[in-house]
Amino acid sequence: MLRYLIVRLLSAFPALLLGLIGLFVFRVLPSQSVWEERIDLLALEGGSYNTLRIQQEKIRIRKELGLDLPVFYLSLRSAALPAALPPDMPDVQKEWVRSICLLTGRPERVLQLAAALQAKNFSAWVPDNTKLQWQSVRTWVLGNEVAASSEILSQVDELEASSQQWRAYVPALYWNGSDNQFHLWFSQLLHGDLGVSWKNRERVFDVISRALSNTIVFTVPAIILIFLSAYWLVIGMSHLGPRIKALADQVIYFFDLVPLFGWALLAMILFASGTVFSWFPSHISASSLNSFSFWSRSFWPYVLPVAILWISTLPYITKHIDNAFQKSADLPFVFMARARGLSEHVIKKRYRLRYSLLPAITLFGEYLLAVVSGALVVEVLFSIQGVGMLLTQSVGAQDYPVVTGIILLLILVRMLSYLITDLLYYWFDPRIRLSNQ
Amino acid sequence: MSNKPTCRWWPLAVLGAILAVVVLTWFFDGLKPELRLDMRSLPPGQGHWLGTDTLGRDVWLSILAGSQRSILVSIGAALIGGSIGVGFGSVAAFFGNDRLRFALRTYLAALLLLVVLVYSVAVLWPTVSSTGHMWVGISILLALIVFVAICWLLLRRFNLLWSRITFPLDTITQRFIEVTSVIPRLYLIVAFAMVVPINMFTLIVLFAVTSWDVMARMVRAEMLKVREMTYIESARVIGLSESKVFFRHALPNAIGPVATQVCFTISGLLIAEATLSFIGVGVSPETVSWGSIIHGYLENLQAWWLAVFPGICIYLTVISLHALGNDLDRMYHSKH
Repeated sequence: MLRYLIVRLLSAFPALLLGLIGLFVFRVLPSQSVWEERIDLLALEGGSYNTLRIQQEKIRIRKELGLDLPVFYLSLRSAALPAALPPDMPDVQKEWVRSICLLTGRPERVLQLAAALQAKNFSAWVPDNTKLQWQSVRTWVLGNEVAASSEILSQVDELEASSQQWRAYVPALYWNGSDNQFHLWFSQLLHGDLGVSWKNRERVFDVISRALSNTIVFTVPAIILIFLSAYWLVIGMSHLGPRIKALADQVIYFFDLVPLFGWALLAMILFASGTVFSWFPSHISASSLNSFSFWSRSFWPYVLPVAILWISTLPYITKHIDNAFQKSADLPFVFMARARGLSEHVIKKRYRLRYSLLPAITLFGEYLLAVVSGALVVEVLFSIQGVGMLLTQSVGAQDYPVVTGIILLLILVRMLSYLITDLLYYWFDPRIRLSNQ
Repeated sequence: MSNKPTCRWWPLAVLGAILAVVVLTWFFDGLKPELRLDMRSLPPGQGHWLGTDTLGRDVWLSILAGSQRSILVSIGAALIGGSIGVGFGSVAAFFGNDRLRFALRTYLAALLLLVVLVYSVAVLWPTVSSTGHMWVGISILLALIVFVAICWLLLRRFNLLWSRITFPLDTITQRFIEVTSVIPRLYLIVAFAMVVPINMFTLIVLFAVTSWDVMARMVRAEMLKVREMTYIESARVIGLSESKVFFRHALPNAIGPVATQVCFTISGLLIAEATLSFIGVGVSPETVSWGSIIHGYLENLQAWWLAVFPGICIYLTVISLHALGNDLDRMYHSKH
């Protein structure tokens, strides 16, 4: 038993590791454009419209979020690019310095030129076009009264004369040491620290656990209800005559094809929005959302979300359990039980139904994830501040740490559900138990 | 057997009508709904038989125009994802873990190609996009690829590198399928919306990437059965090459159930697209799809017509696709 468990845990490890790496790649790949937008927004939140102040704010925020560090232990880039740019240099200038470096292949001289320009006047030196071609550097210097001086012009000439364009195509490998984004992110993760939300600087763990408590309040009752009623439905259907049974199968088939949001909309139109009835509230306010008040006062708003999840999942699960039940009719162990003279009723309840609950274990594992992830659609429609709603809101606000936290949670729960499924099978299916001994 | 199972007429009729609408709206601009700010949120009635949405667009015309995005995205993604799945699944099962062997030099060449890929992504592409010397970049890349190819040909001379090593394709494919199906599709795409703009093209790619695994699993299971058949063995015995056995005999017999699965995948993706648009992922005021019409219902819970009519369209399409899939399945099984 213990060995079985350990083997299962070890086999889940590569997937988990791959997931973590995937999450990091997910953060790093678009780092140049997407996170910059977020930083722009954060910088503007200070209320300042001075370009210089915004620049300084952006540098500060990037430092705070750790985005100014190199991405990984190793970095590979063109040999023409400088190893590091001055951290207080505004972005536009950085971009400009990079493109001139790639054009000339002389990073140290370009940095000298940049420093000379910066010494002249910090704020005035903002090139209007970052994609400057070489000829236009000269014309720009000549046309700008702050920059135009014999000293700078001679540097430009020297740079032009000594340019080594081929260096831009030579790869160079740099070692960044442990002071990089991956190292920090991963070591924080190992300490169980998911970081802080970029939106309101709250701890990601708190944000997610609050959303999780809002989700499980309606998913856990729904899951319990679904499996209980599927069980009773299969028992009930086994008593039906063949023609009514065929009709019931048809109904289940067509109900199963209605997507979750179809049921959600139908319930909303019929019972909540006031178009037909308005028995239930159409929005579930944040104040009624803690587990205490759920049981004591306000379980009424949750009736509709639970019912939607119930009706949208029930046909699928019933169909699967019923299929297994039908197929079990002439299996050897049923034949054996009949031969021993057991009544059909006892065979049904004690033998065939137990056997047909085995696929329900797999389904239960699948829906365990739904307990945590909630139903995105139901949460959005009823404005429940659950995990799915948090995900859409964080995606809208480009709140990377929260999105990573949610995906990490989903991966962990999926791993856990695989494990629980295996253990339940081990528990309930003697064939697996015996083959492992 | 009294009579062979055939396709029922109504799924074909519904799907044919929808495809006709997609083609018609592609060619006729007159069928596009126009913004009429003086006619916002009108209930169904004279002039607008299915009502108007919050921007004053006629729901009937929106449904016609929206079929384009809904149907094209799901069909495109199902076809692309299906081909990936069929390719991976059939090759993985046919060659298994022990039949695919490559010489050591091939592995070395593949490694070199990987290095070239990393170089072109990390060094070549930033340089070229900044300096604008596109032709220099392309010629460097071509030169590197030619260099790898020449290395591969020259290594033939060394006997040491001739030893053949098996490639555990089946295990790799299975692990890959497991990893990609860990996170539910909907959540993955919503998360991706943070870093890539969701439009018709990216949606097709994301759907294809998240839906190939079902097809791969199914074709793999089918191929595992086929490869043990005696006709495969006899094809080998008469001396056909491995690739001929695969393409002429194994693959055609293993992809029978694919058509059924494609129908189911299309219907699943149709629902996924509608759900995403309904949540508001990848929806801009210009895009019209069945899901984006329903998205309008979130802003005005009194406007039931925004939810009911597109919802009926989606349900009709889904039912027809499933019925067609089941018919195809029955026809396939009656033959075998």
